[in-house]
Amino acid sequence: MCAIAHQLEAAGLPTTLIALVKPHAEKIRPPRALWVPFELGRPLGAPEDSRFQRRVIKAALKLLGNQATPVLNDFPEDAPPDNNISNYDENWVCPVSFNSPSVSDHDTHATRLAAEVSLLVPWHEAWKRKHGRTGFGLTGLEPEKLADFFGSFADGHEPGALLPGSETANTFKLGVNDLLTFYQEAANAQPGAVGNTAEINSWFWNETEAGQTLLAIRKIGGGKDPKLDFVIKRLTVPHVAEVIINK
Amino acid sequence: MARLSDMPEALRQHVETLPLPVFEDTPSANGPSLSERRVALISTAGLSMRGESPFGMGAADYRIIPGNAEADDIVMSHISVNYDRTGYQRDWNVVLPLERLREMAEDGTIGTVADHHYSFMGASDPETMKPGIDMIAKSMKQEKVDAVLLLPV
Repeated sequence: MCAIAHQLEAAGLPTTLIALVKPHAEKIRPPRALWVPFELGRPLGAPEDSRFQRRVIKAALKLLGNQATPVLNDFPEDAPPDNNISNYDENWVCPVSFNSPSVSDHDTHATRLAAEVSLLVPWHEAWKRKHGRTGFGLTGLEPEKLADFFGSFADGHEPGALLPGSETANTFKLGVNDLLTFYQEAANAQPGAVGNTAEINSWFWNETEAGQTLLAIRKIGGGKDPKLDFVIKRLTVPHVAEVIINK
Repeated sequence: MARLSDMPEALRQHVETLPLPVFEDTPSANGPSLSERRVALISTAGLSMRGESPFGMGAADYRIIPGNAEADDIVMSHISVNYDRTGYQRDWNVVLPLERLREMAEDGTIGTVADHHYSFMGASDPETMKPGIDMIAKSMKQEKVDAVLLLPV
């Protein structure tokens, strides 16, 4: 990010950037940067808060007036609290978990995951109706197909490529992204869930068959395919999951 | 929450030990007042138009996001699992604030919104992105862009 700004500015284009990791901006010294104290993944801090977003953008664009570079300013506000829903229980608990009878009755990852996904499909449909969009769809496969692929993998079957004819490691990674998006959006569509990011993460890694399936796959690894092995061991389970699981 | 002290230990170590490029000096380009500038966005969130080829590991290339794109046109294929995606799922502007820019052009805060915006996949080595950045710089100049707002995830 900071390196891109250097190159564009050297080509004569005035730049300003949002910095999420301050030590990086301090070391790379891009022409103009606004450090923001927000969560990784949210450079403008607050979803569904256009006024707050505009304040961040204006603060970043204002730096364009500085000709003496580098300049690194701090944005003075923290992001507003995420949980802005007051009509529901504050402690959101997803009713879908591997302890649900319809999920726990099955004896393989594949069948448990299929049962779980089928319980969440209506909520994912609700998400799409409410937001008019979805981040799901990188692989072009339906959630049921993803459940079958990851469940069979966790059950020890030879995985093959998620998309026949495509490169195995990259399509595996796209499938993980799709699976996570499906679960996060379905969870966020439920009453009282909106904005409970920490609870949704905790639910996914502690309570869902999908989380257990990905953890099981990480134990199996990518076998003789070093790229797939890297994706499975380094790019499938986030660091925050370790913290959640070890709690 | 992007303070290093708030991150899980393994993520903090990863962020702290990332190899960073070194620059001897910092360039500076001029432009008119903000209300006259043409603004373009560059995101390193691995965004692409739905149906377009997503980003893979080590991807050094870029994707074009048209200035009239809408929320459901965009998908995210960044390879990292270590940042929040739920904010983006709820509101794409938290990552790519195209709607905010349109409003700011409407109310005169900025001049105009560029016709083309761009995305890289930020986990890749910036050194490998140089040819793409060079290409983008030429296109932006052609389009008379004189303000670039860069957004990480």
